[in-house]
Amino acid sequence: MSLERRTLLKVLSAGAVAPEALLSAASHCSSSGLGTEFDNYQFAFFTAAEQALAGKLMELIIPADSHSPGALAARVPAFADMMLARGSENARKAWRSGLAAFQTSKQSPEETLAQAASEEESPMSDLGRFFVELKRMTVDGYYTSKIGITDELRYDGNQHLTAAPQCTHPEHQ
Amino acid sequence: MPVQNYDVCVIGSGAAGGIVTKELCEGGAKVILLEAGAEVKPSQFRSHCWPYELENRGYRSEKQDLFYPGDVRSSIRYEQSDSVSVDRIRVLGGRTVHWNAVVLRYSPTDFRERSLNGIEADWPFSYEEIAPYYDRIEKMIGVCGNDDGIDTLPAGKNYLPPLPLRCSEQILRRDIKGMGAKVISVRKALLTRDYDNRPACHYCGHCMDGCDVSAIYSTPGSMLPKARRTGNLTLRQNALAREILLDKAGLARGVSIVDRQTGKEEEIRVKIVVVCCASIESARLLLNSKIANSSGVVGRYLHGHSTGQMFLYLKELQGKATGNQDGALDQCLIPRWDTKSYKGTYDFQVNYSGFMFPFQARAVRGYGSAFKQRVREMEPGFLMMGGYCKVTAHPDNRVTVDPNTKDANGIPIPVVHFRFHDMDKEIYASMRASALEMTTQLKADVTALPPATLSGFASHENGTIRMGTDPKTSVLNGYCQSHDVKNLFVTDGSTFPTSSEKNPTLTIMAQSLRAADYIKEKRKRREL
Repeated sequence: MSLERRTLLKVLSAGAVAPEALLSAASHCSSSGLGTEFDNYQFAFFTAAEQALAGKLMELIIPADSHSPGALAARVPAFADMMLARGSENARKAWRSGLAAFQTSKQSPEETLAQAASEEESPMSDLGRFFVELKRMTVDGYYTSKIGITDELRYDGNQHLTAAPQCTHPEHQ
Repeated sequence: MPVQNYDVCVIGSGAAGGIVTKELCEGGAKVILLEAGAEVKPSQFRSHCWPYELENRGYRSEKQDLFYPGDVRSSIRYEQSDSVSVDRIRVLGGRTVHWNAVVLRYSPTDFRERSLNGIEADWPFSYEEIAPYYDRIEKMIGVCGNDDGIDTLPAGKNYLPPLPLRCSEQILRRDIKGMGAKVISVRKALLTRDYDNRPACHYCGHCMDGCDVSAIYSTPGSMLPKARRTGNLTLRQNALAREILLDKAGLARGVSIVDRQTGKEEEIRVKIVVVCCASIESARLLLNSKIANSSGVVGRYLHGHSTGQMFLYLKELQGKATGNQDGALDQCLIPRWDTKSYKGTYDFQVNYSGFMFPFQARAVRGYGSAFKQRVREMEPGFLMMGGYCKVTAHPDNRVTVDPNTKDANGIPIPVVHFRFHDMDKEIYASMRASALEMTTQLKADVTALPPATLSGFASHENGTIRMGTDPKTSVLNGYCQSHDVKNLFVTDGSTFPTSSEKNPTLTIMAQSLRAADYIKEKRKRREL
């Protein structure tokens, strides 16, 4: 459901919009009606080992901490799998060989990730370039999840308001 | 082939077609409105969907996919072109269901580039001639804003209450004063109070994804109910115009259409044809019809806007609890302020992206809890802007058709040929310099600046069927009427002889209203 019930009630009591318009809007978010919270997701691209490794790396990038849950709780590996399965062959190849570099490394994943991340500003190696892809995917998946939007950012928009947001701080004027 | 008879055929239901249809229906004409797309009902809009309710998390243009059915995105080619893209939305209401609704009047000087600056061409009408139509249109569609007393941005008389500035916009106004730039409440076809049987905006921040309550002006939400009430409207959806057909006297006798669902062809017989398909599709239709082109100008003089975006995070707001700031998206505007030379022909639209996705997360370096915290802290400081720059009109920048490559309906596809000229690059460079100067005035972390090379057109393409007083160098007269085919009109942005830095829609609507008045008058006198 796309609108909080209390928001709906607030709007409905204001009488601004036909109730059926809002209620039907709330159920038309995807053509399948399934959405992407990945409750019972079947992995289509990652092998079990890749899935575990990707999850470990993603959780290192956006970890659970005292503020909010991390990438694993937000099911970012499933998001990545879905995007890659629907994406380009080139992207799939880059991920397969990127993850393989971690698997074959003599260093721990933590050490390899640190090494890869050191090139973030201007990646020169395949590993450095993969880090950029891995992080972008993690960011894109995490911050579009319910956990990323609500628990982490505490975003409170996408609401029906009765007045436009306005600055009332004298120091900003 | 089945044949149907009407007085007027309006092709395209966007900003231009909506106004013409409503006006002519009210004027007593039997109007058939053709739309190549179909209605997407407000209940189908994905505006209020959370990303995790969508199949692709909102990526891959998922929220707007419904507006681009079939092969419309792919059945076009760019040949030897700079980095530009054009919009060919295919939905009932056209771009009025997928727009930010910024409606700015052109200024008196914008209509006189040739006379004042020796470049391009003058428009066949002046600001004074179009001003009464601006007045009427603003009243018809509902526009919020202020009269800010700015010469480059003439104001109307009938504005709804203005949108207020938010924290980041107040800070912007305070800090860039020294540059001479003003930050004003935007003028938008958005209702800040109930108006014309439409409810006020609910400030959800999703203007571009379709407004479910029509607080933003759209053809289906505002004009079609009025046109339907007259009993004179026939709406044909999924009807793709293949050709405009002429009779032996050289007048338009009708339109041949392909029904996109059945694939069947039909002919619509009419007395008057009004083309409102926007710059690319209108030119394509005229070129495929091989009509109205004694000047050789059809398809030529494609122009519009170049744009470049910047993202900043104001230090003053970082880490602060600012609450929900999405509002009506771009609640403010920085109008053109440098009038010393053509290089100042740009403005800035502000905050037209909402706060839901933290773009800084793609720019902040590092990883781990510290990264996460930094992204979170920066978020309330979000301020983004796009510079919109005039692109000049040149004959070699054009749309052609490729008779050997056809779309899914067997109609030759359009081909875009476009190169930026030196003047375009100079205007863009001035905009970029102003953007850089702003970053020195604002205390902010900057994550993106307008790129060094320009791109276009941000859905604001104009030209290809230009108006003018001389039939040798223009396709239409000042009433949007073909010089060659007297009962053929084109009233969308393709008519524009020149672009300014302003968004084109309000001027498209005003000239559509003016053309509709002219058609009504000519019909009354039985001259059309």
